[in-house]
Amino acid sequence: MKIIILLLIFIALNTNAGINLPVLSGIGGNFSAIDSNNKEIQFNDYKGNVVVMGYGYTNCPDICPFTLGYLKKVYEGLPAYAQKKTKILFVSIDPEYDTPQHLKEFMAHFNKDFIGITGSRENIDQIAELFQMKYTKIAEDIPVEFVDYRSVVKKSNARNATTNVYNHGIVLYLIDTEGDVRSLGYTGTTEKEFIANIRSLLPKPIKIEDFYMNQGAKNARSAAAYGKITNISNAEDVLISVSSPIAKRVELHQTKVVDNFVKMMHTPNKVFKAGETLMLKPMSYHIMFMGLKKPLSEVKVVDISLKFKNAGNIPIRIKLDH
Amino acid sequence: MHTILKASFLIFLYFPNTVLANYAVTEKSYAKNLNTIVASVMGWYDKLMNNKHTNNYPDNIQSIQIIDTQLNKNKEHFILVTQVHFNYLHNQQIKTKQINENFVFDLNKNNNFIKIDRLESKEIDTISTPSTFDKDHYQYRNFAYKWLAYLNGNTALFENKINNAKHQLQIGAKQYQGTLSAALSKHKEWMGVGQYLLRSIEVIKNTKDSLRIVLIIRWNGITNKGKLGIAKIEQTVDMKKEMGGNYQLLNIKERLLLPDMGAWDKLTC
Repeated sequence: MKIIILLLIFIALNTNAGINLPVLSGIGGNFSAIDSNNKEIQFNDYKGNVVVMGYGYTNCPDICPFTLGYLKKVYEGLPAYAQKKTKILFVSIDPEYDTPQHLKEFMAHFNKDFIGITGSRENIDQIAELFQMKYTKIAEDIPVEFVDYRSVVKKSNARNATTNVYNHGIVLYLIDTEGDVRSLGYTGTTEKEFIANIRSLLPKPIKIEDFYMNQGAKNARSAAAYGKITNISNAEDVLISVSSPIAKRVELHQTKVVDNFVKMMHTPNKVFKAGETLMLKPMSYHIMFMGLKKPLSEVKVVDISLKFKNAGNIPIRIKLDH
Repeated sequence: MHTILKASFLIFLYFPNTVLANYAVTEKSYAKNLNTIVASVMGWYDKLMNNKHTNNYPDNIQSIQIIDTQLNKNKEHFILVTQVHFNYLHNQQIKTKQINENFVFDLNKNNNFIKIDRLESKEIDTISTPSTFDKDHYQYRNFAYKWLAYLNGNTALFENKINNAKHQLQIGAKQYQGTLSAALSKHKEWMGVGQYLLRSIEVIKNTKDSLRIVLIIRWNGITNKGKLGIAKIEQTVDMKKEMGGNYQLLNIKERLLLPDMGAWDKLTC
């Protein structure tokens, strides 16, 4: 019984391809603000997307441009389907200076898809309280030319323009499609790890259904698997490779009748258009296993990995009934 | 056995949230037992330091330092294996005795240990123990672990009047203030099922008759959406000292902090 419980715990904790980020309970929640398109927004409007949220201000002389540069790299490292489902938000803690128009220009310097968040001081304080953002104003009415020596976008060249200077935290919040904060990161988190964390929160863009094996003759050196593969994302994807620990070579093949001869051909880099379903069935497309390491009669579970250009690795598991 | 395993797989495939919830209940039960055991041992050391003369222990104990512990479990009992240094006053000199003993618990019986098995007792070279391992140290920890055992579901350690305490709860944008039991229901409603483990205690003595302690607690469990969840809870607990040395709980103020992710999460620029 103990073994069963341990096994179930193990399975439960490993259901998300190795990454299972816990919810940071009690952190975050809905808020109202103005975005850099000058529209009133609710944070709940972003539900259905993964949100990466940082905070700072456009006159920040050091970490903010660096953080946004880091987020630009992370965002550009995401496959197309993931970019469409990921929103990068930058909350200004200096809403008096950071107007929507100014934030828009500032964000566009890094990526036009990035969204600046501003509003009233009450709006910003509410966001800070919900997410436990830390900031303190350390100087007021400082002439802009004294602080913007490294600014990426100048709001004003007016000699009498002034701004505030803040001390603030550097945390980046990773928020799932239901609005739950799932992790905290910063510019020291490797881009690879951050990208993997974002992807772990997005539904897989490839749907796998009804897979089964043709077990063939008892000591056969090859076998085939059939089923249904659907690209449910909004973007084209490419199947780069197929692998399985049970065989030396695994490929996507297509059976065709040419001049009354049945020919089986390797179909490398098979393109899956957005929404396309590929039926794998006898005398058509199938996954071909060549050089089985042991007879299928001795195998109980077949693991297959489909590697897609955008979607990454998509696992398939087939249980064999002998 | 094979059939049970197969059935368990099917249960998980079709009801993953049920399995996660069961996992949370198992963890909570572990936390309840652990905190109950530690509370009993802290209470025991507190009692030893309250009395000048004790059977089987040195007289005039000045401080107690726990060197090593290990929790084992057999079919019937939990056994806490301990190695402890007792600093005591003898002929106006501080001496140190090392005592190794097992505390044997039957948690179905009155939440207390049922016996102590002495393994070894020997005089050792005097070891300077920090003065903080005094009577207060064990008294505060006895309370803290009892309180944690209570939060994990062991309600037998406190008298019923604990529910007279007021509990103020702030979880994200949600706030609640009410009796302890009502607040704990709200806690479950908003956060799900999980276990509470103590991370630190800061003691702020207010007056001779009252005490404020700040507890940092790690919570982990399963949220109401069936996801794994963690939280760093700060509880500020106000208590009144009663006749007989017991504390009565007056107020609990609870808020959730950003969980510790790394040294960098405190950095500002």
